[in-house]
Amino acid sequence: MIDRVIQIRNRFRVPVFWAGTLSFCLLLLPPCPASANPLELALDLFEEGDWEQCRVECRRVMQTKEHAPQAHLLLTIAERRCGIDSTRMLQALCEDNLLKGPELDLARYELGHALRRTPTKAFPYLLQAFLNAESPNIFARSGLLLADIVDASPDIAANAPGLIPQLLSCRPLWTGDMYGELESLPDRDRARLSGKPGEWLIAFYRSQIRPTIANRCTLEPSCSEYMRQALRKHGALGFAIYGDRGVREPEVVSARQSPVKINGQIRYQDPLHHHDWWLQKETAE
Amino acid sequence: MKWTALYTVILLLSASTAAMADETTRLLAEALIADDLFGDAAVEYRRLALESAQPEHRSACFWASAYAYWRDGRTSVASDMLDLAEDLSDEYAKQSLQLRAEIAASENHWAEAEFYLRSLSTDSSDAAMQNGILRRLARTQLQMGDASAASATLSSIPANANTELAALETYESGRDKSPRTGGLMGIIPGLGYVYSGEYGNAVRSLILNALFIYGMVDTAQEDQWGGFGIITFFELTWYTGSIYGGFDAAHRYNQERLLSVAEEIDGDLNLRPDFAKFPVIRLRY
Repeated sequence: MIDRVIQIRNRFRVPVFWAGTLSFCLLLLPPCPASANPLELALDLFEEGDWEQCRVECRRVMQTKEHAPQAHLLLTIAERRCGIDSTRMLQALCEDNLLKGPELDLARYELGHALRRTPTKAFPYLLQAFLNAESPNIFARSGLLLADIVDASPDIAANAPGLIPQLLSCRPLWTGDMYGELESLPDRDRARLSGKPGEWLIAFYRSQIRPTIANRCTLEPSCSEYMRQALRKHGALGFAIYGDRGVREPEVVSARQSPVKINGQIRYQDPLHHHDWWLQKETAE
Repeated sequence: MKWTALYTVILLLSASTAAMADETTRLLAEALIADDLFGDAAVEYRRLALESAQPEHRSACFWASAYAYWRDGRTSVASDMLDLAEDLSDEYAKQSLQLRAEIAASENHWAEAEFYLRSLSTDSSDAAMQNGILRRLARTQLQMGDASAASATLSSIPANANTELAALETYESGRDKSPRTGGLMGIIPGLGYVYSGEYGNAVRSLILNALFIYGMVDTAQEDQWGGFGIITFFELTWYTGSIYGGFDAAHRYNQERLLSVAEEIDGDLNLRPDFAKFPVIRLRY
């Protein structure tokens, strides 16, 4: 009996030793801080608004299989912020049961937001996010989106009794930022109303005139882009800022300072902030 | 005995594998910096920091990441990285102060930059470094509008700074243009540019305004009110551009005058970290 125990102990000594060594290596050797959360860097990059680097980092984590669904979710959200349509990926994440708890709620909310232009598709995802949400953030945001959808098409809530009183009760949680998100998630650069007519003119020029005369501007940003930026930033004053640029253009080109190569063509940099920094300073003062 | 030896070998192998991975990331980050891909290099240094267990090493990695972000133009993230570096260790306190001064200067926060540089200027352990810091300090004081303080700082540089002092004297003897006067003179098309010595722009502004005013008068006389409206719209752009240009040209004149003497003081002074003995970071100007 004793011999048999010794035999078994000797047989298991090596695997136990290996397991001990491996766990020691994994837990105590230098890479251990990274193993705490492989998505840490991706999350930090996301928080900083560095969507492109966040996407790369998520793809790197996805290669390791571990935490892949979470990385996938973060990737789709970062892609949305980059203006890429990631609705299909979000749909797959919501329906394949790969995510659980708050992550699933977040995926449902993001999908609902992405589909908000088609309320019948967005409604079920938002409703699930709203009813199951553990995070107050998701609860308030999905509630606001639901309220917006129900407000536009009241019939949609017919199959969800009690929803409207619930939405009304969470109204105090809705902040100005949340209302801002309703408009458009990726585009934070809102135009000023007084600059809108100018922007329509630029849109007309870009769609109807530029294709026939090609891009002739030798400055970077091009004159139409410069005007668009000026109108967005300063409203109607953008016309005056553009008028000044139109007059200065030959001088900037002849100075040949700060050249950049764009599509094989040499252009000279003349960014807007070189000509409105004093305006912002005076406004701040 | 046999097992102890095997255990030690495995430990050493694991440690060296981790070290090799770190070394690869570090080399990649350095190569990215050499290729001016600062944003990518910053992320690699952050990864290195997250994978490191030693506070000093992590601190150095966060410092390097801050440097790369600053070179990439992302000053707020660079400041966050410096906060992390400082929280972990005070090994690189001096380097952090220097980088903070550079970050503040690149954001035009001259008072803040002056504070950091002043605290560094008393350290005379490295003469070349002190020379660089004092020059930077003089430039910062000049940007703050305190030419006499800049002159005093330049005089305190152990190395000869006579050329810079002469340039500063010339600057002090000259006068800035008043943007308000420029703007007011811009009411007469082109005169605002003349005030700041931009004669080419003045002629173009005058010709454009004259042509469009002629167009307006002509279309009005011919009762072509559609054409009148279009030409008036463009004329308003050129006319307001002339006024805006008057302001902008005066600001440009003052800025160029200041920059020419600031460049004389600064020369080709650039903060250059030496990563050859990383995590030991040596800075030089």
